[in-house]
Amino acid sequence: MTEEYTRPIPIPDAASAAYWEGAKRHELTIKHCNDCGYYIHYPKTRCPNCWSTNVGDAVVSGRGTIYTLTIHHVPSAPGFETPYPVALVSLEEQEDVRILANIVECPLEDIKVGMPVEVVFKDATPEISIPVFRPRKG
Amino acid sequence: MKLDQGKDNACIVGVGRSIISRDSGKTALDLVTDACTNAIRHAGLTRDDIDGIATNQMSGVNGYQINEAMRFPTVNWYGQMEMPQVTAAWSVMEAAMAVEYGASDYCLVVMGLMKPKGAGSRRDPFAGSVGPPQVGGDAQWVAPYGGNGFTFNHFMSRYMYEFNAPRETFGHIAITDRKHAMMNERAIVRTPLTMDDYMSARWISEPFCLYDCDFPVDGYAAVVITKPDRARSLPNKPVQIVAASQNTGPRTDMFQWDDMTNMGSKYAAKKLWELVPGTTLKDIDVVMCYDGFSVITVMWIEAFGFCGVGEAKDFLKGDMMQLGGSGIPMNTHGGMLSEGRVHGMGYIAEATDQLMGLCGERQVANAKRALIGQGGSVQNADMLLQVMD
Repeated sequence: MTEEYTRPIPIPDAASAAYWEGAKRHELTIKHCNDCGYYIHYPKTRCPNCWSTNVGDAVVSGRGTIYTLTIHHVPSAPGFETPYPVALVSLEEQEDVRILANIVECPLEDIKVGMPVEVVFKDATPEISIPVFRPRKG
Repeated sequence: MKLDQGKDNACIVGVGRSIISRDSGKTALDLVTDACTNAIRHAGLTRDDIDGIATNQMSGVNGYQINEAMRFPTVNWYGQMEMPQVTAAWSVMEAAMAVEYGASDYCLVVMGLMKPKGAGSRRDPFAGSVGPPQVGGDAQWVAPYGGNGFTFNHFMSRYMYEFNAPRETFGHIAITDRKHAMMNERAIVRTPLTMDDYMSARWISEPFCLYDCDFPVDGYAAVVITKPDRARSLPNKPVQIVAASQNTGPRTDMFQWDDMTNMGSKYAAKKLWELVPGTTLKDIDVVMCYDGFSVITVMWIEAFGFCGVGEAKDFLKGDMMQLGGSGIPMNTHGGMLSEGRVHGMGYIAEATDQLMGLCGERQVANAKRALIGQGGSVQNADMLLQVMD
């Protein structure tokens, strides 16, 4: 980090701690039901699909597809220069796990709904890294 | 349509509004009491008659504050929806149930908006924070990306992708509303709007341009609700709440909605039509479809069955849903896109005015039944109103 990071920084809670600890290791980590196999996002420790509490943390591929795309022309937080992209990324492991994220390493006009993407991590502080997505390579 | 449907249901007997303004210089409570006073007087009632108050969290005031300002002798029932809920129809439905149950004889329902101003408003949610803002709860998944809580642009993005829908689909909504607002002296914006204006407008948050987004205002509207036997002895033509429904689907986080080519309106419309078997769109004279963002309106139109899912791009061409046009007139007051964001109560007030015959230049001839769809994404409600025989 050469520049001061001014964007909003997440405060992990009991359910999201593993997600942000995983992000710090540059691994996308999603709550996963050990009984029915459902991936749970936002993180919860009781599976909303089968109501089991046998829920663990799974490192996923980080591959996904852009489900929706918006380009913000009015900033909604400090640290963003307009225009900037905010997408919902649907994960390869399970279509209804959708992660809101910026798309990076791609010209704005080339970002499209349906585009295959993969996770990369942006180190915000020594404790917090933010998952974002870039066009998938290969 | 069977005319005995809902014959014992509660009725709207009076409507009132505050001024609608970009900056009223008044407090929310003062505007609320303006709307309530006007509604009670319009109904031919007095302070002593009112014994119920319903509003919801997004009106910015609560029932106790309203009563302290208006001093009703006894309030027997308060309805105070605490979920963030823009659908005034939800509160009207609660009040109707309270009246039919006997909890309240004459119930006031008020809803509207005090436009956010200055620091902390949506335009600058983190104004005044020193260093990077720290965000917990659901915001931890959104704010780090410069996102905001308004997912409707995501719904529009997915809809356009799935159905190859051009932007003009949504332009038709803005243009229809504006055409109607030009006949409504309360409307905040009354200048003509063309498709060229729409297509060349500045972006807010693609795919939203300026005209896809409603105008925040200071403004409130109120109605008074009572039972049919009481309604008959009052001065206005009673407007009966024949059926109402409020619904969600299985997902209730706006970003995690399962299929963004539709909204909760599909559940609300399905339930409403089930409540009035035999009734179809052919029985409807005027329709109100929520337009906080234009995409919400398109999804209500499809949910009610005006056209098939994904077909609005063709259905809305021409003058469809305009006053004097070839379909059922929609949002005859200009909707929130042009009258201003009175948080859903504007549609109920306008529908009631239409059924009472009070709309002047924009009156739909012989209007007997109004269909209202409110809310978007996860939060939706709808109702069928009918002039009582």
